[in-house]
Amino acid sequence: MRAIYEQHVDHVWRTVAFLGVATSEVPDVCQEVFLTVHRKLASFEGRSSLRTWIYGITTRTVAAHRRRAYTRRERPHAEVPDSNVAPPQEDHLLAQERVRRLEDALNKLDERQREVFVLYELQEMKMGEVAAALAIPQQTAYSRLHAARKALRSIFRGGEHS
Amino acid sequence: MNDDPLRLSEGEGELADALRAAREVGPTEEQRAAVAAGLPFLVAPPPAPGAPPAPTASGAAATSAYLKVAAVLLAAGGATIWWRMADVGEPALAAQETPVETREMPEGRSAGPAAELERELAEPVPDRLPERRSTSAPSADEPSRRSRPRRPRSARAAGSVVPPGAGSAARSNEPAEAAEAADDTPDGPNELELLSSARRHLRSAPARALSFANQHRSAFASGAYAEEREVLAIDALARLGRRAEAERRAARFERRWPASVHGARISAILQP
Repeated sequence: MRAIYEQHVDHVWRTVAFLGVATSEVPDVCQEVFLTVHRKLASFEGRSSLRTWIYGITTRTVAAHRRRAYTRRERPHAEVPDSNVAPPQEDHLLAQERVRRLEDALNKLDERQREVFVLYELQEMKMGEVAAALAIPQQTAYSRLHAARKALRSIFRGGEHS
Repeated sequence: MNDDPLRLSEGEGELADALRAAREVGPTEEQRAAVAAGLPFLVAPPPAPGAPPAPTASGAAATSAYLKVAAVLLAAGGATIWWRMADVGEPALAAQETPVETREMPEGRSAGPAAELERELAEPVPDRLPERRSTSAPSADEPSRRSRPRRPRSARAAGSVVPPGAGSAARSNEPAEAAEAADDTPDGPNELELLSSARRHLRSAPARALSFANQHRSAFASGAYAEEREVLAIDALARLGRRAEAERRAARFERRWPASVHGARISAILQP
């Protein structure tokens, strides 16, 4: 389990953060993900890859967290991920600004589109894996990706002219 | 046969730049430690008296062995389930509180997922994975540096941290009554129920969370989850603005469990 944790913690963290969980709550949501992984590991049947299975748990955990946050009338995503943004050979502040802008744009997306977009574009999963993780038909995943891209391009174009 | 569209990050423009930058986002070492601190199965196993040091086998082999230990411990019954504290928001899974699927797990049962896991773990990591390790995160591969032997918190949790053969030795170091209290308290809430309630209220009603933590302290002063109770209490006090009390309680925690894996979490809580 420790090996699984070490392999996936950064990816789970990134997914949770870009799916709109407030920075202060990302550690708790990540813990929930890995507690669920640990609890269900014995029943993991290998019908998908371990990675796909974990991302499925991650997206469901975030969705549940969002529902709870909504119930508490909290803003689920008011902050930009305050994490290690340190790409080599790139200005740190510029990278942070880019991430912030992406986060703002993602916050405007439909949640289901956002899930597909984050898993495909950020986590670089295959579309088949994305569909499996989200338990949706692959065609649906394509549709959501297309819609998300269209919306984000529009937002970014608008920003460039402003 | 891959009909996947070209990823936007492979193109040019502001959006592509943003996506490339976003892929570099990850937890800081402190944040990784904070996540790890809440995962009991990452706690290093206790050095049982007379027992060999913690295994240094590969993670995959260890995982397989640990699954079997989990099955054995679950078969023994009497274990409460750590995940109840997690409030993972999957009501459909509530049925698993009764460990039906593992009650009589045959030896071969663990071979399926375990073998799959071993294959997965043996494969190269699909994406970039940092080599870094949290300096304060617990390490199950290292010989234990913990302050005291710990009783497995639950069969499932213990399955990942207790080396084969060390379970009973580890258990024998904890007061038997504390173990009993954790699992079989006939009246009133048990340890996990109190801590689960504390955890649930931590954000929305820290005063109630503190009250549950203090109830736990009254009923299970040296219970199996005393450390977790103290972390919750310190967190609740900090959220209530009772910083001096939080710091005093943290100091007591430090004296009592100087090498606790929760140390990093407490430091983060008390960070100005």
